[in-house]
Amino acid sequence: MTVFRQAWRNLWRNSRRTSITMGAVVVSTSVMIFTSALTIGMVDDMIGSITRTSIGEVQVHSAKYLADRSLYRTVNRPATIILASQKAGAQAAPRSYGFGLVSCRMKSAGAMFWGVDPETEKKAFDLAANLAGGKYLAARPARGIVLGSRLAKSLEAKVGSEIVALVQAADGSLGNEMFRVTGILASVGDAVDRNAAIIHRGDWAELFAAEGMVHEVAITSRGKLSLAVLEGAVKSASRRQDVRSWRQLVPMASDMLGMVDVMLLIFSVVFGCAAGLGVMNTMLMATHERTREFGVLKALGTTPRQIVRDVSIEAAMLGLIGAAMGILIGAVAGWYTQVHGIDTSALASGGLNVSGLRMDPVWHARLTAKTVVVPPLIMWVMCVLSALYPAVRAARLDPVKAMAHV
Amino acid sequence: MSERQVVKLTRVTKDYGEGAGIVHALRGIDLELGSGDFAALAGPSGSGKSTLLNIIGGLDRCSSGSIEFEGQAIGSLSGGALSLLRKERIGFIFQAYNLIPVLTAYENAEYVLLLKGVLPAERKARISALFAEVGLEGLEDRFPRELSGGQQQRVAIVRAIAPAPALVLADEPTANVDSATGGALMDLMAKLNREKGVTFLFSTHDPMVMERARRRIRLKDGVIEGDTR
Amino acid sequence: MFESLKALSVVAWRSIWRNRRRTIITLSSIILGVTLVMVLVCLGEGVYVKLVNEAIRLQGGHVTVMHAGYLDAPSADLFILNTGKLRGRIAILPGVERTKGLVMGQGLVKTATGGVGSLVMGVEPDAELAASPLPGKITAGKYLSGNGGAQAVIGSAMAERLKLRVGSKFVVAVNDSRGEMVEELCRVRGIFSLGSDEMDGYLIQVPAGFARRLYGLPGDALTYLGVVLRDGDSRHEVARLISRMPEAAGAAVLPWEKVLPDVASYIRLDRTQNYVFQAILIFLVLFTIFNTILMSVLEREREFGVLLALGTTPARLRAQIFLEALYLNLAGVAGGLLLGGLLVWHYQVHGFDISSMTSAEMSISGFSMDKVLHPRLTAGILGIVGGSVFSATVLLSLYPAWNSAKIKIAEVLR
Repeated sequence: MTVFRQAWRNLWRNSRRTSITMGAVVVSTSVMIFTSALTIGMVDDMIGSITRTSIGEVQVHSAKYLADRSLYRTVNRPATIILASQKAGAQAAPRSYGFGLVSCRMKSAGAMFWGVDPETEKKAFDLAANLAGGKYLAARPARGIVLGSRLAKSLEAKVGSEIVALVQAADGSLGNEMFRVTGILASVGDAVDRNAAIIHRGDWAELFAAEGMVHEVAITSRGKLSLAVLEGAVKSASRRQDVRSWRQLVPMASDMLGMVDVMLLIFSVVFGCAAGLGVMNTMLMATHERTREFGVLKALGTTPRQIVRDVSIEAAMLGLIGAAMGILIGAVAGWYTQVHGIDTSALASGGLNVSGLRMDPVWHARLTAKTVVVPPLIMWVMCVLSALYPAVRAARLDPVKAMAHV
Repeated sequence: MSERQVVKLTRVTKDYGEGAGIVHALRGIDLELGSGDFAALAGPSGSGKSTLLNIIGGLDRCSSGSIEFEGQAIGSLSGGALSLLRKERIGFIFQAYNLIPVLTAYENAEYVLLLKGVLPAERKARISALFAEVGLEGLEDRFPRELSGGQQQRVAIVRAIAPAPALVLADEPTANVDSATGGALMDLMAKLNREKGVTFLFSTHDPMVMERARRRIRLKDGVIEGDTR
Repeated sequence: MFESLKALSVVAWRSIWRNRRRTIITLSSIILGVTLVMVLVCLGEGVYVKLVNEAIRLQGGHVTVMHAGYLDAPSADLFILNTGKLRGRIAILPGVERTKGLVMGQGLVKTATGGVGSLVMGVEPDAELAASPLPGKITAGKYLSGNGGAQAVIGSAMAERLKLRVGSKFVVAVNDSRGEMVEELCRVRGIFSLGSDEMDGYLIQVPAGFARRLYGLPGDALTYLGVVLRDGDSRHEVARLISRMPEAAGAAVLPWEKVLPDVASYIRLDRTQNYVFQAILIFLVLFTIFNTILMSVLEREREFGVLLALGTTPARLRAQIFLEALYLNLAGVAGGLLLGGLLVWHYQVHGFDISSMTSAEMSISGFSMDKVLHPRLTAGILGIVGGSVFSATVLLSLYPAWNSAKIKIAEVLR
């Protein structure tokens, strides 16, 4: 114990030097933690914007559906799939899709009609809550319709407007119904903005004269399950149907994320170097400055080994305290940003799209065990190593030479 | 050599710390130094030699008492005024680490002259002459790390006396050199004192320095115990 | 006096190099930081410039003249008339490369297999050939020619969806300017691949004359009168000049930022994100420098004590330390700008190929991004990066410099 007490006292003999050195460790550590949390949060948000908005983590379609989106390629036994997903701990939303025309007074446009189950959508996905105006669909079929933001704009439709839907129904006849706009989506992504016309499944069935048609089952655990586990559970219930993860559904987004990951890794490495250099430089100087002192110790009979050991302990203690403080500051900053986020929406109108990824103007950080543990560890190691090098050199020097060191 | 008064201390005390841990480094010093004096301040470690030297040199302030330098009271001078006083009238030779490591011997020696704004030609004249006198010819462009301890001290001596100060304070100048070198340094300073009338006050516990001094002031526990010529 | 200043700067310079290793480490830190910032900023600027260029040449140019109410509620019945004279006047303005007219509206592309909503863009083929990147991205068939004709070029994603090939026929159905449903037969003349699913699945280009027929518009009506400039920076000036022309009375004359707000937003947001990361990096670098200087001041207390004892004024000592920091900063920043500048120049000429990092196409708000990036170096960037890092380091140096003279001489000389 006395060795530690001695080290502690030694540290504070020159409090200014120790403070400066510790300061380097604290700043480097906290910056690294905060930056890691910020970047992980960014990536998380990006993934979330895909999987949680409406695509989900895994989707099931009939084998050839995605190639031509034919009305007649429906999912086999959707109920089984939905049950299996729920057992695994995820939510599953059945959807029907059909193309047609929407008109509002004089304006009309092509649209994709989504037949959804509003309650499931609200529980599983964020889209239902992502409204620029009005409300989402009611739980029971009521001829309500929710439009994508750009679709509504080009139709000059508002909440409460009357929409006429004209489609080619499943039996070949012309489907023709009137709907009332209950809500308009906020900007979510080009495709949805321009094309989405969301109606209750029951209304969809009537419009398209097709009862019980499901073209897609969208499944999400909202980040709780790993993709592999979820996919596995769904595949076993889907029996030779097309099961795809979001990465396969929107490969552009997945690749973009990959690029973002690489970029962030590069950033982290660079930051790490800069931070590490800072700690190293300071520690080198601090220990180097004590060469004379080591010379005196040697002259008094301290062995080189003892000198190196003492210096290591001092550096380790200094590094530990610095790292602890750094963790505190970094974690607090990270936590604050996690909860409140950095709002840059003053700079950007909502709804930015990069390869299908929606960029949220509000940045959230995300603290994980890794972000809080790895940077301090690295800084601590740098700290100790940077003290060792000059210490070993000084310990080997001739005491007279060391004492004459200026 | 006129006996002009250079330094006069009256009942000077210096305390460090406060409360229970207070240390009375100087407990009432009365001292007069005249122009041309070659005096040694002697005493064991802790007797207050360095403290006294610092106070006389305006590097520190006394806790009570009065100090006159060339007739002027310096106790109440501002830091800036003291700095000016030192530049103009006082030369310092320290025990070690006298010289600025990144300056050559010549540049170190001319430093104070440069501060005072002495013109280059004049500086060169004075420094070269002094270098010759102290035996440092040819070493002008060496850096301190390339000089021996004795050579470094000689550069310090040149630096101290080049501006023709009223007083040169030397804090244990021979402490870091061998006795032969120390003796040579002392002879040098004695010569400068004789020929140029430079006033020297040393602090030392080196008997060899004591021997060469014409006036010995013995200090113990913060008071002057003896003052012999 | 001048001499003593010279002496001061000599001492300052030499003092930096006394501890060679420390100085080199510190310099490396600054150089690394500045270089990286420069490379990132220039890469970003290069991407933005390219992106903007592509986007505006595809659409309405740097400055677009349109019906005053069009931007709020895009619709085929909002157009500008008598564009001939206006175009003539615009074409002779300094810096104008050319004008391009567009007639646009929503429509439905129908085949036996199904229907897809689309943006029908009526274009002037020779203007497009000269100014737009699209004709260069034709992967099958040919681009449009002539001004009439029921021909179209469609995107590869749409072609796949509707099983269309060069020469295939389809029906385009629109709501014309009077609100009536109009259908026309059309033939695929070529298929393009812009690299973004949105464009390739949604956009079709037809000759302007055909579009006017479709929507029932008069002879020289245009939805967009686009002005392509040689130097995009002059767009605000050009927009002002155009809006003063009598032929443009009542119309909206807008710079591209208003017409393509998503692209503008993306650039702003991306820039901001980059700035945040760069700021953090610079902060780390600055902190290293700050620490180094502070430490070095701490190390040399005795030296400072001697200087002060000899009569050096505190001001002079502070000036020395400040100069030391200044030299360090200057060397580091200059080095970083040089290294960064060289790297950027190299990549500007050879291109920075990131296709190894990502396999798929990248697009921003529907406009595709090239995988070979060309960074863009301007004097402005050099000035801003160099200037900001330098001033920050200078400010940081004030504290240690100030502190250097606050020592108690008697204590440090002990």
